[in-house]
Amino acid sequence: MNKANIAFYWAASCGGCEIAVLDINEKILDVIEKANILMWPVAMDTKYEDLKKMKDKFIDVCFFNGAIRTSENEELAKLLRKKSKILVAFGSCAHEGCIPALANLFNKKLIFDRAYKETETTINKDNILPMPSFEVKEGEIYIPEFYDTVKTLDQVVDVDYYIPGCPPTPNIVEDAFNKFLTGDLPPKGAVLAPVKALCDECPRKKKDKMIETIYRVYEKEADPEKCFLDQGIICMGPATRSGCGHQCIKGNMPCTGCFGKTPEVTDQGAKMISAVASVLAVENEIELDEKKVEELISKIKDPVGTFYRYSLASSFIKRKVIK
Amino acid sequence: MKRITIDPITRLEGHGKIEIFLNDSGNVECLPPDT
Repeated sequence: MNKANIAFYWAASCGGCEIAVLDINEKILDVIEKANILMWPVAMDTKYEDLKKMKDKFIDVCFFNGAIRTSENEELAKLLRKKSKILVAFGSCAHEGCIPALANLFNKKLIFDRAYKETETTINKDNILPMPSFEVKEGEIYIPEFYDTVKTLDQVVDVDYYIPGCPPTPNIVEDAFNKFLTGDLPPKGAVLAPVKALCDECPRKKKDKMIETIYRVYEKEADPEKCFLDQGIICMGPATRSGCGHQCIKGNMPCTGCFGKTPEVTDQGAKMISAVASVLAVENEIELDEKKVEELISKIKDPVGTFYRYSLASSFIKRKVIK
Repeated sequence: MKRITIDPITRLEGHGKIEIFLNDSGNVECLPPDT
């Protein structure tokens, strides 16, 4: 049997997705038995020039993790798209933007000013900032361009499949590898995880209580039997795809939404804001005075980081408009 | 002048690149020690 050619690449990411590949433990040996890994910068010595020399579509499946933050990320996304029969957005950053896309609340100038001028530990009297090209005696040298906006993989190239999660859990990764290596694939564009919301499968007791205040996770020890939302702790379960095996819930921590939205939801953050509004007694706002409503809403610290922690780049709003 | 590009640096897990400029005799010119 011919072995499949596979590649792994990382763009704007933390490295957790690389570890997630190895989290399938000894089953990685089954993958190696059935596939040649042609490229994996974190683990193997392959240069971009080698990739450029490959015939188009030479790679059967490319697992691309990380968001598109720089021109290098975009160039590699386009190159790997050209060289791959199937391109997979692996993990939340490639799928929805994830944590790197929270930088879309700023732009390049604001980020550079903070990072290279204003941080308390920085001394940069000449205000030197990274430049895409620079002339030295020997010639011109280049670094990638830093973009204003972080994008998802499918905002720059056509994507065939998505593997959700920050990072994807071993069961999801193993299942996806099996699908690709056996050719048992769903229609193009599918997210390779169950379609139900995490909340629908949650083992905790839910009473749909109206709550009067919001607690951050460190402010209250949650009862491990009861629904987090009933206890006033924001849990993204109602707006988030299942498939993770409730790892956070089992650890007595609420879901933060890393598997992204369910198929019937258009915007994960908006769906969750609506779910929270319905338990926060804000739906009865006609009877509440404005001050009380404001007081309730102000209990939600960092709304973007709470409701759009993983999905900002792929949401309706995508980024903050900076004038 | 010859330019050698190592991209990406896989010994650094794929982070960054190195560009080396060789002079006509195939050597890297070193800066004087006081610069």
